[in-house]
Amino acid sequence: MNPQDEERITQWIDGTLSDTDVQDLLETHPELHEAKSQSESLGKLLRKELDSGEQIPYPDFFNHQLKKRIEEEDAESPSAAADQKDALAESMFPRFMFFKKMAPLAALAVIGLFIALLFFNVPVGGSKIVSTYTPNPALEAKIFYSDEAGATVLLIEGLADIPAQQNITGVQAVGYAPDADASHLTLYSTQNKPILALTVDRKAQPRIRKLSF
Amino acid sequence: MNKSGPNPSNPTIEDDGRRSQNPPANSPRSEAGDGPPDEELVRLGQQGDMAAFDVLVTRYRGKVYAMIVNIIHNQAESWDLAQDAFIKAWKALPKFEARSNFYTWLYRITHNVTYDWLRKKKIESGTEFDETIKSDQVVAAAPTSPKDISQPDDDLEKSELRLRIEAAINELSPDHRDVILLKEIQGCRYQEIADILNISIGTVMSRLFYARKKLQTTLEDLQP
Repeated sequence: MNPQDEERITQWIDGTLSDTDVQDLLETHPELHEAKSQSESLGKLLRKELDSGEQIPYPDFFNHQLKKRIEEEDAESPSAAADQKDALAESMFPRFMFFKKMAPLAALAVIGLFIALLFFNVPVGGSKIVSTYTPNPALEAKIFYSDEAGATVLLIEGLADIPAQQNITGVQAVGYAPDADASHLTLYSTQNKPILALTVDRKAQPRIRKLSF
Repeated sequence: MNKSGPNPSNPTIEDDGRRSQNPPANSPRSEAGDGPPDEELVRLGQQGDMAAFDVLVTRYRGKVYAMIVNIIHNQAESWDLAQDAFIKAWKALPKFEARSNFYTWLYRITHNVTYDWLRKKKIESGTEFDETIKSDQVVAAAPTSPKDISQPDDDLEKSELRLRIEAAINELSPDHRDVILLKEIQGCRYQEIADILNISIGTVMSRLFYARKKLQTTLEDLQP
């Protein structure tokens, strides 16, 4: 079969050519009728099983985060046009601009609070997390102090089960040290070895990096 | 998601060269729903109007995300890459000359972002803490997806079927995988696929011919 015939068959399968248009091919290759039927079934199966794009996880947060990143990137390379865009954005979305300015600070504050709760055994009555936010309303976050564990526990309900073959290991950190400009924290083991680094990535999202276990 | 309907003032070109006033039912544009036409939003976006661009993001974020997740099969990375694609689109928007549809242009950016990432990941593999869970490790749905009301057996069966299909698509060459996903899942026309992948319409049709043949063989037992 030559390339021109392949193209004609494809068009016929997709309905842009009729049976009459490919009559010569159908006479010499009667099996093409079955091939067309199979292609149509295949297409239906793919569309049914694969994501065609009706939903993205956390859609509102997607737009919010995108806006924040665009503003941050504009701020990194300021120009007259970028300034104009920022001004326009601020007039329309003043809250986004507030989040943009506060995000790195907030991320560090969350990390700091986490450290404080985890490593200094702050009594539950002395420090309290008053609210939590889960972008997906189907998830529920609970925070409570476990006397047995001597730690504050963050519990997230609604996540799918972790596959049994997923290996989960824990670490015990007994100390920490911020770097010179306080942009990240390094956590240390009982042997005084650096084991984890808590940092903020270029999108101002908290990140945990494994150093050594 | 905002919806926008067909735009009679902007006829589209059919694959056979005829001009049509309305896109086909499964085209990306026709699923975008009501609201201002893309052309108007693009024009405003080019003037720095972020709110107009935000509408375009809302209109196409699901399609862009799906396009990526069907190639790399990792939800978290796909979400981030979809962000990168829209950021690139925002930066390049002043240069967009509307020779093609906005979504065709956006898909092209998305395609490039995805394959750049795959190339980079190949080079950097093993150097960073791996926070991802691969799709073949997932029992039902995605690891971070909330539980839904469907029965676990349904989930398991669906997941297995989906994984079979994903594996079959992964066995295709990248060239064949691209055309099958753009045609069957995204509902693009031959000309749109040709624009996105920067190839001729004839090549699109030829690749579709072989991609379907290969998939039919691989998934033969799933066909009625």
